[in-house]
Amino acid sequence: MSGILALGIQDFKRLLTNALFWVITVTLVLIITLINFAVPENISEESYGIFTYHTDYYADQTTAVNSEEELRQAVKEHGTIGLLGNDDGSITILNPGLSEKTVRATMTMLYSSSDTYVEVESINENNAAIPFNKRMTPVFICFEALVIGFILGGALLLSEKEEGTIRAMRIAPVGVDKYLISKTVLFSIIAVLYALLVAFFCVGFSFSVHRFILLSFFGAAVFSLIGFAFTTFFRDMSSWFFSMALLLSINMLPVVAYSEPSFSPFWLRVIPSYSLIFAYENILFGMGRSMLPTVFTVAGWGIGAYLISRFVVGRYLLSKGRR
Amino acid sequence: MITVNSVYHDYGGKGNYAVSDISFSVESGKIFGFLGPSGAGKSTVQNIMTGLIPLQRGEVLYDGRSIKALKTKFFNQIGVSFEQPNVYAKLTGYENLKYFAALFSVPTHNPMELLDRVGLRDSAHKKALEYSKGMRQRLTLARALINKPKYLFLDEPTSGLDPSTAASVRELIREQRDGGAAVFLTTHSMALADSLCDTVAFLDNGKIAAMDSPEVLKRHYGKRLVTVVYNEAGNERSESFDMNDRALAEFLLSVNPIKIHSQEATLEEIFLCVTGRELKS
Repeated sequence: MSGILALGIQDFKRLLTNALFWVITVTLVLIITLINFAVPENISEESYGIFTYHTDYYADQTTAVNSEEELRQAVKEHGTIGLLGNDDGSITILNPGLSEKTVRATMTMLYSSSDTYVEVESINENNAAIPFNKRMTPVFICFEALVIGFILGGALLLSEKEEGTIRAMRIAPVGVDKYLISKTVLFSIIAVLYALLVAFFCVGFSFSVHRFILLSFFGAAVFSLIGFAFTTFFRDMSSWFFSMALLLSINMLPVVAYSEPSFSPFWLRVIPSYSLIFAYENILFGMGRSMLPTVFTVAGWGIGAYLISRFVVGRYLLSKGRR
Repeated sequence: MITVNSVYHDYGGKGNYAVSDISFSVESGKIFGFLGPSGAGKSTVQNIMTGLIPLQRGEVLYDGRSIKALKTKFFNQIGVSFEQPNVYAKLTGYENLKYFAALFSVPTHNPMELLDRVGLRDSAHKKALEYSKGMRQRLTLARALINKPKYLFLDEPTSGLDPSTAASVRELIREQRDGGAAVFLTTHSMALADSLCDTVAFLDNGKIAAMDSPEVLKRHYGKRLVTVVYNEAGNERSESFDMNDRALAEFLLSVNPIKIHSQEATLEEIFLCVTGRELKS
């Protein structure tokens, strides 16, 4: 235990001298500032009119145009929906690339009960609309705070390779478990602190802090462990950096599902950040998705990442040559 | 005791052995010197012995136990000083030692005392990146000693050191030997091997060309000659004789001798004699 603590403390000291650590910290402050002061609370002022041609549909926000060509142009320019009446009486909904689900839902709403008053209701537990800027908080926590172990853990590991100190570690009585746990715990603690900072400054204090801490700790542990296994195969920062950026980009793909929830294919859902981002939405805004799948997903990823990392780091980084 | 039996190593796996049929033993309380030019395979053997390179063929035994069967805990007893100083550049010398001391589950030296022994007390709180190569070399040596190792591996420990520091490092190594450690010293420095080692092995092209104590090697390969420097009409002259030649005694009585030298072979000359090549770094 004292060995793990000693490793963690010294790694933290090394971290404080690492420029990347300070870059990430400054970025975190920038993100908090952006969310609070730069991104608007809502974007409802923007027009969302529907354009029509050759239909008798009419509502407050509809604008009839004079030709199909004009209709297509309006949909493109305004990024909104166009209703095109066909000669056989059917309707074609033109849209700027919305998901199939969204288009069908719109179509149903338009034509099922046109006399019905339509009301918008937020279905989160707080029963309040989530400001647009605050809604981005889970995204920033996932892709800034939680991946700190992936980025900085990798940077520290590579510096050990470049300085040659990893050779000294190999002939020290340090098992792979002690090595991995000390670094993972360190980065998970830092990630929790960073995530809490973002949450407190952007959303406030009305959320379950202990659930938030647990999610952040284990979520960050998953990314750290994946990072250690991944970085083991690289010799220096320059070759690692671009591959790392690519992997992080893939990890960010669930942002698409977050902004367009109807798009959630299986391959997207297995990316670890998918579950995490919606779990944060649940904790911070009381959205209705169950936490149980997230618990299983994070636990599964955690166990898997630990086993893979243990194998890779043990065999290729800390191998004591006794196999 | 460390025992190495018929060790071979092939980096490429194509039958080109970097080292082959290496056998020797290092007893506790003794210093074993591994001499050879760069590329001879010295570091390969040391890396196999410390477990940094997997053992492909042969045996490495620590007190009769194979290195393959040793657990992580065993590394509490090993100290390794690498030729290329490898320390945490952004930590101070003191922090470097404290960091490694915490990894061991055996009693360790006080980091500051050890820094004092290697002449780094005044720079203890400077970052290692501000150290000169020689200072980093000494820090690496101090790190190798932090756990009071039973088996000590030193790769060119005095390389790049000034004569005074090199002397204190040699004294430190002798202390480890006197304390009962088995010391494996890899070097191409004849002077270091001659002054420290109880046994030396010459490594050439991955094979041991000769192995014995320096004294025995010198006797075996050295010329048994004595050179007498004498004064003749104000000029210095010299004459060499076989040690057993009766004429030597008669000659000494007949001249005014200034100096008498025994013509012992140096380790370098012996290496040249054994391998047919010079021992260069």
